[in-house]
Parts: sequence; C-alpha cells; structure tokens
Amino acid sequence: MNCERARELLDRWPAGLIPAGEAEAFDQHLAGCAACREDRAAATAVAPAVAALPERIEPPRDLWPDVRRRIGRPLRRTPRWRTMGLAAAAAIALVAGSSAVTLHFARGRPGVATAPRIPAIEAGYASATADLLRALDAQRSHLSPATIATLERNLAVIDAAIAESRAALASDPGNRDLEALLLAGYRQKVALLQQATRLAERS
Amino acid sequence: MTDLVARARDGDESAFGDLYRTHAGRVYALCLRLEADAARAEELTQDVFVRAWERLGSFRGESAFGTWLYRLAVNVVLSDRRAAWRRARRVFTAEDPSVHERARDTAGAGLALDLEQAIAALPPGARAIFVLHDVEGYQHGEIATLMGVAEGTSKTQLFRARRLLRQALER
Amino acid sequence: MPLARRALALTLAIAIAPAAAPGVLLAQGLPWQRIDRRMPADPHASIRILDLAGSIRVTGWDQDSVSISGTVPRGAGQFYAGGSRTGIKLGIETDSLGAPGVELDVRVPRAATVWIKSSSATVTLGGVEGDVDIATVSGDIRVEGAPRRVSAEAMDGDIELTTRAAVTRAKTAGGTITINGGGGDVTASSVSGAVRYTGAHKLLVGRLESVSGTVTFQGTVIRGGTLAIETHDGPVDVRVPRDQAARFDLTSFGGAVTNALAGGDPVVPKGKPLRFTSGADDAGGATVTVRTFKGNVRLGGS
Repeated sequence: MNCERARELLDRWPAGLIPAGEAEAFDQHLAGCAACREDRAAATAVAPAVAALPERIEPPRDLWPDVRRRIGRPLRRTPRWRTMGLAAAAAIALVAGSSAVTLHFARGRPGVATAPRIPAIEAGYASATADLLRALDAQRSHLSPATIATLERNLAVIDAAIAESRAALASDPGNRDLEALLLAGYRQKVALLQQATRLAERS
Repeated sequence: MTDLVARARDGDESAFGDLYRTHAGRVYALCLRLEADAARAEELTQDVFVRAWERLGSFRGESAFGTWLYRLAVNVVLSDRRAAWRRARRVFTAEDPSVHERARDTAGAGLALDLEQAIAALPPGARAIFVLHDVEGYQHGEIATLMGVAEGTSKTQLFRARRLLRQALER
Repeated sequence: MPLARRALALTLAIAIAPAAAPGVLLAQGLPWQRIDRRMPADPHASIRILDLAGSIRVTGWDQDSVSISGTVPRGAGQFYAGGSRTGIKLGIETDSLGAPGVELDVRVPRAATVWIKSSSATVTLGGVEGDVDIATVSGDIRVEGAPRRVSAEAMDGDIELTTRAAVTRAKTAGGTITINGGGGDVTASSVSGAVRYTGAHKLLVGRLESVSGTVTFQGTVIRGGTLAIETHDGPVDVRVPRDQAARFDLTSFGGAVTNALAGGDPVVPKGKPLRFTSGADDAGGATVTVRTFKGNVRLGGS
C-alpha cells in the first residue's frame, strides 16, 4: 500500500477504523511511514470532536425580521432603510467634501477659499466607503459576476488615481488644486459604490 | 415536497418564516464555521434565506428542502469569498483583531467548544475545506468544484487542517 | 432586430392559429409569449418599469393610457403589470440576474414620469416630457426628446442623451456618455469611459468628469454660469465660441495645457495654471475650470 491509498482510506474512515480487507496492509504501511501515522493520529483525534459538534447554533438574535424585510413582494416596495441610511451618511460626507471643492472652483483663486481639512475629510470618506462596501456585500447576490468585475475594474481605476493624487499632495502639501483632485477621487469612489448599491437593491 | 415548503413556494411568507425557524440554526452554524466571524455569519445567514426565497420557484422537491437549502448556503458563503472587492475594503478598514474573539464567544458551549475555537483559528482555505469535508460531508471532487481548487489541493488541505486541529486540541 | 423577431412571431402566429390568444400559442410549444396590454393612465401618471430581463423601448404618446406589447421568451420570467390611473408598475419577475430576450414596447402619456430599472439590454426612450430616471447594469441607454429632468445611470453601458432638459444627470462606470443638446444643469460622470458634450443649448451649470477617459466639451456657457471639468489622466478638449465671455482656469499637473483662444497664453509650463479672461467684459462672464492630474488639456474655438 502506498501513501495515496492510505490517505484515501483515512479520508473515508476518518476515525481510522479501516475495514478488514485492507486493514492489514494499512497497518503495515503505517508501521513504516511517519507522515501517514501522523495523519491517522490527527484523524482519530479530530473525528470524535467533530461528531460531538452541535448540528445547530442559533444565531445570537432573531434574523427573521430582517429577512422578511428584505424579501418583500414584487408589487410592494422593499424598505431600503439600511442602504438608504448608509447612502445618506455617504452623501453627507460628499457634501462636506464637495462644497469646499465647489467653493474653490467658483473662486478660481487658491488661498481665497477656506482650505479643506484633508485628514478629517479623508476619514469621512473612508468611513462612508467602508459602510457602502459592507452594504454592497450584503446585496451581492443581486449582482452578476460581470457587474462585480466591472465594479472592481473601475474601483481599481479610481483607487490608482487616488493613490497618485495623495502621493503628489504629500510632496506638495497645501496645494489647493491637488487637494481638489484628491477629494474628487474620493467623491467618485463613493458615488460609484452608491450607484452599485442602488443597482443591487430590489424594488 | 412538504405542505410548508409548497406554501412558501407559492409566496406564503409566514410559511417561509416557519422554514426559517426550522433551519436557521443549521445555516448559521455552517456560516459561522466557514467564516469564523459572527457578524459576517449573521449577514450571510440572512443572505442565504433571502436567496432561498428568490430561488424557491426552482425547487422541485427532488431532494429534501433542508438538503437544498444547505447546498445553497454553501454556494452563498463561497461566492461571498470570491467577491474580490473586499480587497478594496482593506484600503480603508483596519484589521479587526476582535474577529477571532467573537468567533470563540459565540461557538456552542460544551465539549465541542475547543474544536469550534480551533476551527475558527484555521487558515481560511483549510478551514473551508475541513468544514465542508469532515463536518458537512462533501467529497473532495465537489469541494474542488465549489472552491475552484484542484482535488489534490482539497485532500492536502484537509490533512493539514486535521493536523493543525489535533495540535490545538491536545495543547 | 426587434422588428424582425416580431415579424417572425406574427408570421408563426398567423400560420398556426390566426385567432389564438397568447396562452394557446404557448401551449403550441412556441418559445415565447406575446404581451399585449392596455391600461388607462392619467396624463401625469408615474410609470415604473422593472425589466430585469431584456430590452425596452418607451415612447410618449397622446393617449390617456399605457400600452405594453412585446415578447417574453419561455423561462425568462413572469410578466406583470398593475396599478391605477396615477401609478403603473410593470416588469418581468425573474429569479435570474437578467435573462436575455425579453422585448417590450411601452407607450406612455407624454407628460408621464418614467422610472426604469433594467439589467442587460438597451433602454430607448423618446417623446416623454415628464421626469425620466433610468438605471441599467450593462445595457445602453438612449434618450431623445425634452424630458423635464433626465437621469441615466449605467454600470457598463453607454449613455446617449439627445435631449433638452432642465436637469441632466448621466453616470456610468465603464461606458461612454454622449450628450447632444444639453443645456441647463448638466452633470456627466464616467470612471473609465469618455464624456462627450455637444451643446446646442446654453449651459447654466456643467460638471463633466472622467477618471481615465477623455472629456470633450463643445458649446456655450451662459453668463454667470459655470463649467467644471475634471479628469485624472484623461485628456480634456474644450471648444467654445470665440466670443464666449468667461474666466478660464485650466491646470494640469503632469500634462500639457494649450490654448487657441485670444486673450491667453498659447501654452504654459507643465504644472502651471493657464488663467485668463476673454470676452467683452468681466461683469458676469462664465467661469470655465479644468483640473486634471496628468491629462493634456486643449482649449480652442468651436
């Protein structure tokens, strides 16, 4: 008997109780093979514990109200409280960021507009992005693999742009135009995720 | 097909609610063991039942409803893993060290507690293969298809998982 | 192509059972079901179309009703339509993520508000004067006419708006946006696709952006109005009438900025802004701002 066959047997009988026909050959192989001995020891140690695992683990809270909210019916609108709330939060971050940008554009002259506070705004976008990604995860069964691929591809384009803008801003801090470009990248990321979330919603 | 399933299939939400109550524990256990993250497991459990509701139209009763449901659950959890935009999430969200804490806290009490903790601590690939093979009873060929790995990889990972678990249990 | 399919369906229908209802056709084993519905609707009715499974053509007409005709392939899903005179909802209920082959032709009152959510095929809309809101995943969107407001969103599809609306919103991730007409309040945003604006009507507030795609603008900005264009590395091409009164502010950090209008330098050193005012006076001229990280910017006359 070789290792492959021995492993196959252990696969079928993880408790190590090999049937009579092959038991002897199995024992002989193990006598001379440390690796397979270890595999059997592992299998026999684990198998009883696996058998004792509970078949059910009740979720810490009743999920039925949320499930029911999500399933709804075709002619009745599924409440979008969860994604609406998160999209609203993202929108607030958007406004906070973009109003500074709009002001800058309107004035057209750096130094006149109030400087956006980059770290605070970045944190706001980071949090909005994380929330949206979570919400999107929850809805991913409503998106096809092709859509997910498109989303990923375009997120990568935006992330690359954000990274470049950040790097440039790091070597020229306080440059209002670069700040505006960086914030534009964040805004586009949030907007793209919001768009994907809207598409994934059933209504 | 049982009467309950037939009614749920026809759109009876409260019948589906009864099905939820019957099967939620099993589905949650599966999600929790595969994900080792209680919050994720809750979300995934919801996803599974929402998906099941959407797909009920195509359930023909060739297998028991539970079998069909748990199969769907495995698909939901594994395709969740494949959603690669979670890579993007790492740009902004810090690694949450309490994830493993949560897995331990919510695993069932009793003799099996150590094993649940040990499973949660396995590397994700090995953990999935172990749960699917030894706990859920899938064959290597099926696991290979489900996870998009070679059958040989599935076998190797299984044995690796068992060794790691044994070490953890006998500590 | 829809025309050919409908013709085929008609030919088969006549050949098999001239007076048959759709159900009979289905029973004959034909691979599709014909839809033919008519529902009364108020002039300003709200129409929601959830066609997750195919292509849609929506046209405004002068009747106080909504008519729906088309074909649904077997297995594509279940067609439904319901509601009241003020609000109608119709679509294809399907458990898949977008089965192909459904074709719907919907007529709605001209002044209706139309909301469409589609999955993978083209949405074509024309002759509607209410608010229009269309979202697709990979389908293209084509809108014509003069809706009050138009909003078009596609993840991967192209958007073409040949419209005159008070407010225009176009958003896509991978597709291109082409706006012919425009005017008023326009925002067009793509991530990796091009944004092309050719304005026949004066722009009040415009925002055109793409991360890596080209942005081209040709049109006029009203006095006191603003045009803001942003890309990361996409090229920018702006053409305005030579007598456009505006303050121009163009910056590319890593690309070249060239100008063919009078009143400003023809070229500036990389990273330096090109700023100048052109036109009769600077009391209330427009503001045209272009920001790009490393795209090339060209400003010229149209």
